[in-house]
Amino acid sequence: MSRRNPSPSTALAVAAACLCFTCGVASAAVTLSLPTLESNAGQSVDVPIAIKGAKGVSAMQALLTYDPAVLEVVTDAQDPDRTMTRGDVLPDNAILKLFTETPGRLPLLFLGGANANDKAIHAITGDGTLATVHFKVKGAGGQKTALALEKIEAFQVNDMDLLARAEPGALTVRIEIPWLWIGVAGGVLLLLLLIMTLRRRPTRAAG
Amino acid sequence: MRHLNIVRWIWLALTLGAMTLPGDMGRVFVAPAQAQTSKPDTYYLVSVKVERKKYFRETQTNEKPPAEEFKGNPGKIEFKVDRPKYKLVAGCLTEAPTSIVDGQTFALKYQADATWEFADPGWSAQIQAFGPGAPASVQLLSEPKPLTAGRHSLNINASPQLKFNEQGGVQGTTKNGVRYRWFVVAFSFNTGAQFDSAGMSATYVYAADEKLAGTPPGPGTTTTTPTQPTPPTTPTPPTTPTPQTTPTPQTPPAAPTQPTTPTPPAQPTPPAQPTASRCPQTWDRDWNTTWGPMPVRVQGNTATGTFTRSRAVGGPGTFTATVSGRTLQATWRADDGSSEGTFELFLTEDGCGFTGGRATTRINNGGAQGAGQGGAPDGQDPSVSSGSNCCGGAGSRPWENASAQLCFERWIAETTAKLNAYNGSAEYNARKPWRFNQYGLMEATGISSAGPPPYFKDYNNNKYWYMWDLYTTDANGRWRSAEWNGAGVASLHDFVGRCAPNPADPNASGGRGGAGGGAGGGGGANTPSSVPGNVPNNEMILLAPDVVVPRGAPVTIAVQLIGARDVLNMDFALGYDPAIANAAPDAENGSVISDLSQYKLVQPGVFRFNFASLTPFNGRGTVAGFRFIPTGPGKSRTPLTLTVATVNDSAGTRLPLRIVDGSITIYDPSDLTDPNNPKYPNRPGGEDSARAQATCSGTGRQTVNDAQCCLKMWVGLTPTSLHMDLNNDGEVNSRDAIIVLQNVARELAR
Repeated sequence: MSRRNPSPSTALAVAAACLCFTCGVASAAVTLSLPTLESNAGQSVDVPIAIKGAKGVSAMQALLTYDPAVLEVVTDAQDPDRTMTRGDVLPDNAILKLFTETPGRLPLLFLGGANANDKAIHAITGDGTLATVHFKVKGAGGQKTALALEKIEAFQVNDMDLLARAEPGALTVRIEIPWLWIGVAGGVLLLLLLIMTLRRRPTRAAG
Repeated sequence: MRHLNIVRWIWLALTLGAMTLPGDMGRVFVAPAQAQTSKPDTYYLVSVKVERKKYFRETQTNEKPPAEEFKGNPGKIEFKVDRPKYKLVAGCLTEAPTSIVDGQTFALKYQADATWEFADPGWSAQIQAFGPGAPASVQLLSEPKPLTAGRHSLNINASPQLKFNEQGGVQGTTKNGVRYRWFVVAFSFNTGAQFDSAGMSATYVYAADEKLAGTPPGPGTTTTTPTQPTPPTTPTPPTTPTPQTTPTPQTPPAAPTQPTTPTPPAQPTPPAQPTASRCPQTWDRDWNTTWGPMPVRVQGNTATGTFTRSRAVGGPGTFTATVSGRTLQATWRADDGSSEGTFELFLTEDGCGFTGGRATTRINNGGAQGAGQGGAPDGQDPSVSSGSNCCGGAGSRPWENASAQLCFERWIAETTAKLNAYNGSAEYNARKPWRFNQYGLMEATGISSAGPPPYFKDYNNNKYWYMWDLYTTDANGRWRSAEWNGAGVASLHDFVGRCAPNPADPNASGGRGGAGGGAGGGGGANTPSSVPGNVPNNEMILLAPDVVVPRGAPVTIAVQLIGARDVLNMDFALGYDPAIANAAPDAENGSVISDLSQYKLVQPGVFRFNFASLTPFNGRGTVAGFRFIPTGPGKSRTPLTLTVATVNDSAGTRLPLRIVDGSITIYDPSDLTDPNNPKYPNRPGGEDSARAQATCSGTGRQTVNDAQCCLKMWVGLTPTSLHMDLNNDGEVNSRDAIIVLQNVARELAR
């Protein structure tokens, strides 16, 4: 009595069933990541936005959110580059705009750009940095703000959307130790000690 | 029945305790706001409203609706039910002081009478006090009691008729020394039978402002009169006792939690054939509106009318208006005096409907006031089709639209996430996690709902409808809750309006026939707006969107899979009317597809698509994109019908799947009378309003993909459609793409 060979469809189903013991996840998604940083009050800080799985993304929108009491975006009407630096994944003629009108809620929009000569829409070709946003820390030591990207939508040239998700970050304002004042206080203490020591010597001599 | 009262009390206490709720909920729920008044020592009675209450469970008795007689005299309600097996008559007189001195005890009294013939009657009563100046406590003056012994089993042969004669009322004490502008005291009583109950409620509004005293009550209100116990003026003759056919009298009466007579907003009207300018060019008629039935009467350039919007959101009420051409500008006031405001309406070109424009709402709760956007009603002539383009893209009743309901769920999911992520006050944070319950109400730690809210039945128990009226923002898109504003919660109306495309008149599509043909170019896909973020009841849904596009503009229809769990393969067909749209022979793979897919336009009107993966798909994403060129005339429409043959999980088991069909509706860009045209002149908010945005995707909500669509048109990758010429320079180019980006940024930052 011979054993029946499994049909191709059964084999496919078995293979798939085996695979899903370990997978069971959605298709690959575009991932935008923000860093976790520390900075001193009053200093400038750069927040890079990393992107993964973005090959083929030709249009994308997101909302960068943070606590405006802790951070303020650097703006300069004469020099937009002071607000944001374009990342290395962007096609040459890509449009990348960061709208800074609403503190704490900055829309970030990306278009791959078009080339009329070759009738092409350009797209991101690999992983890397999408943009680096320049902030100034206005919060006090110990304050913290979440850095998040919301409302992400990403599209390919064929108009199909891509699954997109974000990995949030955070920025903590360091508590600065006042070394100068500690030093001054120490110096004053030493001076007092010296004065007291010098005033005791004549007393012994008289005795 | 008493335990039902307890439930009501628990609900009332909890909802009154929920002080951080937004929007119009705040009219009842927000923390009291103090306000100085000119007469700080007295509250004046400004409004009395007496209503009949009834409840009949037809499904239990299989009897026809009861014959009834209702008389509303000043201070007296008579209510007669004439069932085949019994009769019920209830009457009531009420009395209340015309002024209440702060800090002193006051009393509201009633004299209730009832007679009926059947088993198991019983009294119940409840009292409520709400508003910023609600008394610290109110209590019944005397517990209502039947003259016969308590809850009982009645031998109807021996005692065919019961009589009740009850005097009772409400007693309370105002908060001495703490001044508020108004408060409300209400009480109601029921006579409950096994399946039916009847009774009345009385609502008294007191205000500290002497100028408001004597304000004439609105329709349906009565004035108080001194009480004298009087028998019902419509006594029912005894009838021959009949054997009891209903369940045993020992069963507790099945009284409803809210037995008031429902006054629902406009009921859906059956669609009629499309009409063109055949409606009278006047406001003077009985409209079906999103504020309920709205009769309007015009004399010269003055109009008056009433609306039956739910009490939960400031209704019913009346308005007076001035008419100027197609515009009606009204000042309205809720009958109970709790709110007032203005709205602006625009009659459509064909005279068969109107759309709401600017609206303001003033909540008379001591200072909190604002202007309500999107609060103006939309309406239509009840004799014509329901193709009104109101209420955002979701049609005039988005709560009834399956796709729009998914948008509600998406809003709920996003709002819940935002509220719980927001770092608010200590009390706010301590109540986390915030969540929406099955009635659309917010719950949190220490705040829960023991039952459906009042008036929920008025909304046909549809939580989306209830939420639509409940969660509203002011003209600036601001909530009344600071936390909701801080968390960046989006306007529900705007969200659903953008998310759910407008279903067009189902009767407007042309006939079938005619071959399809030419391939479409690359219009914007309608993916994001159609994808809800949360799926009710863990359902898996295959969804085709509703889109509105100009004739000749290519559009990509993105079919979505939502709430997928372990999906390995699927076969489905997309049907459409080839006389209305031509399909390109090629389809695009969506994000769901990771391995194999096949597609074929098997014949004009039927597209088949399937996919199989080694990696099962979970979550939500686009299955496929189908490109169409809409070729039908303006106002025509084709349904997009999905038929699923197979859908399996990784074990080969067929998965349950809900289908949500879509549609393509076409407008003629040169037809400015079509409300679907973004350049429709009567559109509230003008052409720049959010729901009027020109898109390649047909959703009415611009995304970066629409900017990309402009670039494609510029370089010739997509046929140019001048509806995307946003700066009217005669071509679609990168400048239009930038305008789209600016619009998207504005929406994102809101």
